[in-house]
Amino acid sequence: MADPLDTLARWVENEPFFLASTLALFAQSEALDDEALCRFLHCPPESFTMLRLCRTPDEDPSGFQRDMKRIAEQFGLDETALAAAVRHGQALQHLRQTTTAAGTFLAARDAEEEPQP
Amino acid sequence: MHDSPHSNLSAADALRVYRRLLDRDPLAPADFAAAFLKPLIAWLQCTNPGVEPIACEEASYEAIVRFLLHPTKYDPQRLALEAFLRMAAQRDLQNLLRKERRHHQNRRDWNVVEQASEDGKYLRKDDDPSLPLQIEEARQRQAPSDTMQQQMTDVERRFWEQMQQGERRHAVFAAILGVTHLPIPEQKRQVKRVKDRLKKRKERAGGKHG
Repeated sequence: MADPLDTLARWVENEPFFLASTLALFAQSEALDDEALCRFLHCPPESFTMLRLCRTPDEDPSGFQRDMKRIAEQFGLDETALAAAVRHGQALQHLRQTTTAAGTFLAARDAEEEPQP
Repeated sequence: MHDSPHSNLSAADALRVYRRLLDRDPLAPADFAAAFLKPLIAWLQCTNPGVEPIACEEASYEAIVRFLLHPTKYDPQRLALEAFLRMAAQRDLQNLLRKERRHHQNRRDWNVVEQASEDGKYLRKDDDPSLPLQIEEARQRQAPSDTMQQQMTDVERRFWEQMQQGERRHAVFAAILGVTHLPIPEQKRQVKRVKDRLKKRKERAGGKHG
């Protein structure tokens, strides 16, 4: 039977609150599987589940630094690599949100332009 | 699942993790999940033995994630943290089961439509002059009589509706009766007692239960 914590970490991959979400976006864009992502972050595989269940760091610079340090220290990660992965993931998340919003506006405009019966 | 249904954290430690969540500690969600997820799943499976274990897991995920996203909805003055989570997970499980029942019900309805098309959709069966009578007979077969209606408690009425919809899982009836915390044999005994009582009343009111 799968470890429920690991299942939960997968379950929240679409929830920006969790680090699982930003790390998944980063890994996807770099075509990294879990093992490769762990290598990149210098994360021991046994800590990977708990890492993904952490909260995504605050985006303001001071909060980001503080949270990065705390997470990296807790799991023995390469702080620079983690910061790079999270920043990359957050940027992709913003891009995704912007694209979704733009798509909605375009759809609305398309609808307006439809000929009236 | 053989985990304990109780978290290893003392009430004070549980509260400490909760405060870390409020303080936006980035490690707190992971620590919270590690402390409460497995005991919550174990508890839910223990108290809902007739329910698919995977449904208990899903309900627990839902409850934990919602708590992590909205920790301020919990008031430590009113309830212990573990009790609050159990209540939330039990509610999520009921919602999940309700959705599943509705899904099955819809599938059954579609089957009826498919069956009908084979049996008589193109035979203009609705032209049959006895159709209104057949419909009324079917309705009377399913609906409890007035006397029976008056005798029914709210629980019995929900019970009866499930029986009429062809529900057979005892866990559903046990949930209606509110006896899911009892051992399965005892749940089954209580469910059977209510079913027998309703069938008997129906017979007395003039019609056999189908």
